[in-house]
Amino acid sequence: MFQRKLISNSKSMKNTFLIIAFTGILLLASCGKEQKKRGLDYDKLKQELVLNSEQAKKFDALTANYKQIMQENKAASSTEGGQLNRVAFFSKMEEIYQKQTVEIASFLDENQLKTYNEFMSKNTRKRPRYNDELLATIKTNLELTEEQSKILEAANNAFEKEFYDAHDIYHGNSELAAEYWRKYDNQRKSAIESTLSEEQIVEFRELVKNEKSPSEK
Amino acid sequence: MNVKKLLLRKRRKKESLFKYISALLHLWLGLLSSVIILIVCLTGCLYAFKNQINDFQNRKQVFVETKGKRLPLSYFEDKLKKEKQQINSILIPKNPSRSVVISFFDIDSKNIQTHYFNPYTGEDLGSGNGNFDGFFNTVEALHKNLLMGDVGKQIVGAFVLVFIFMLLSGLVLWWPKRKKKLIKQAFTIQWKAKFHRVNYDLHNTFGFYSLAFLLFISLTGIYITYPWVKTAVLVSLGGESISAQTQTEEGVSNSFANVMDAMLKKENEKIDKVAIKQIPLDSILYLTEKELNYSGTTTILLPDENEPRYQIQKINTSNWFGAMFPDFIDFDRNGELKRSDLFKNKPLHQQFKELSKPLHTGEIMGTSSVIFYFIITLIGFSLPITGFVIWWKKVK
Repeated sequence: MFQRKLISNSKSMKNTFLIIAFTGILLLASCGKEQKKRGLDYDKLKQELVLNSEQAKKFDALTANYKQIMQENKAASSTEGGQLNRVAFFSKMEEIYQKQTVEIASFLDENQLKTYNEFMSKNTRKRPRYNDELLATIKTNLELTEEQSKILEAANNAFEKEFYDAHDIYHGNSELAAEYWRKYDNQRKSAIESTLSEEQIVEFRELVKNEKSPSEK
Repeated sequence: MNVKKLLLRKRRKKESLFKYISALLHLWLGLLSSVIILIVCLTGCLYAFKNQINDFQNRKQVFVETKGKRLPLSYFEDKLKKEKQQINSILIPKNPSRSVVISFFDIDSKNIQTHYFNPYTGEDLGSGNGNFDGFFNTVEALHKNLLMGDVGKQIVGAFVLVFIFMLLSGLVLWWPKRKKKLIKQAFTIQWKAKFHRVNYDLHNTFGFYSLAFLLFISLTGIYITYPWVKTAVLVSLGGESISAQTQTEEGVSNSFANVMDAMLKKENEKIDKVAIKQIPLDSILYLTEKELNYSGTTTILLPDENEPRYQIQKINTSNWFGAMFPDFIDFDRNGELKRSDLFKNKPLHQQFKELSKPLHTGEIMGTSSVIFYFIITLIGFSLPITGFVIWWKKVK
């Protein structure tokens, strides 16, 4: 009788453990945020764009082609036992996305293109530096000399290199990434402003005031 | 009463309080963490062979017959030029039976492609296929965060800390008394014994033999997850803490100024490029081999409108372990050496930073270390199972 009770208690204890373990896993799974799919979710974008059949066909062909190009860009950057050259890799990736945008603009209307640009802006990884458009605006608005332009470019490139070189430290930690970004951004600004007049500094700060770490965007 | 008996066994005669508490914590934490540790170890096992599986899948492109002399790089340059393609980068593997990997773009459309080329015949072997990429991305995500984003990452980190405790408490439990028979038992597996005895030995003895390596893999794993672990490791190796590194400084630091100086020189080289005749690719390779006088996988990134230099990465394996240490050099379009960033000259903390990932994944010494890591993580995967069977037998 005592043995039967012992066995029955053991079984119920085992069952309890299994139920707790299973529930725990379910709870954990439900707590997590939706895991972001690797790569762009073009199916979601297609729904937002509301394409006609002709556009959908072109869209599928174009995105499939550029997905292949992206994969080949990634393959080109992979080396046996080596390190990814982040500056080169993300520079090429930016070029590829720009080309894709130019081609896709040929068959989207104005509203669709706006939706596409917003989607890409939200879902693609940006280089942390001042982009070419902003650089051109700074050079034009501040009427930079050739020497000042060189320092602007050099400081911007130095910022990008330093930020990427610290990647192994902040990898997977967006708050830390933002701290590193701010640190190097201050260095970049100091370097650039050392060559500018007071008026130029005011204008420069106005132009770059919205620049933020990619993890804060 | 029975629950207490099952999870709170009686302290044995002559068993120290330390060992008794270690045993209880080992059991409770083991039961709690078993599922997560199983997933992390299994996915680690699977991911270890990612490169080898990709190579096997693309073996017709990756592997070639070594016959005759290798063609010069100018052959590939000219071949692609005829097709209106321009080379972006070349990867020349150390292993002579592997094809070279050339990334090139169309001069008009600028579309980039990456193909394998036979270095002996010049044949274009096409691009590889990434059929397993999706699978390995999922395995990696499961390993890092259980497919649960930031929450999952913290859960994995916490349970790896538990696992580290399990390894150390397991060592306490494994420690044999000073009797010849018990000492022999602690280091061997009685394969001919009954199932539960074999199971016990697999847990106890395999656990002991794999302890140091599982500890190392776990520590390198949480190094990636927790800034405080990074700080502890980097400071102990002579570096700065992360909080010190991220402190905002007034003006331009020396480090930033040095990098800016290098960038300014590059800006000047960009302007001069029109006047300079570009040095042949084979000459760049020759200069690389002269500067980095060892056999190693070499990647050459060619100059473009934004980057005026040849950027070379060569993997140095000429050390006792055959470990892969990356060296970086840059040449300008004249073939003048502009930068030399050698692994051996870097401070210890910087070297560790660069190797932390391959040290964790087992890629550090190539296929041999990958196989070794696979065996170790397989043992890690088995420990919760064999441990659970030990407990289950007692519960029955």
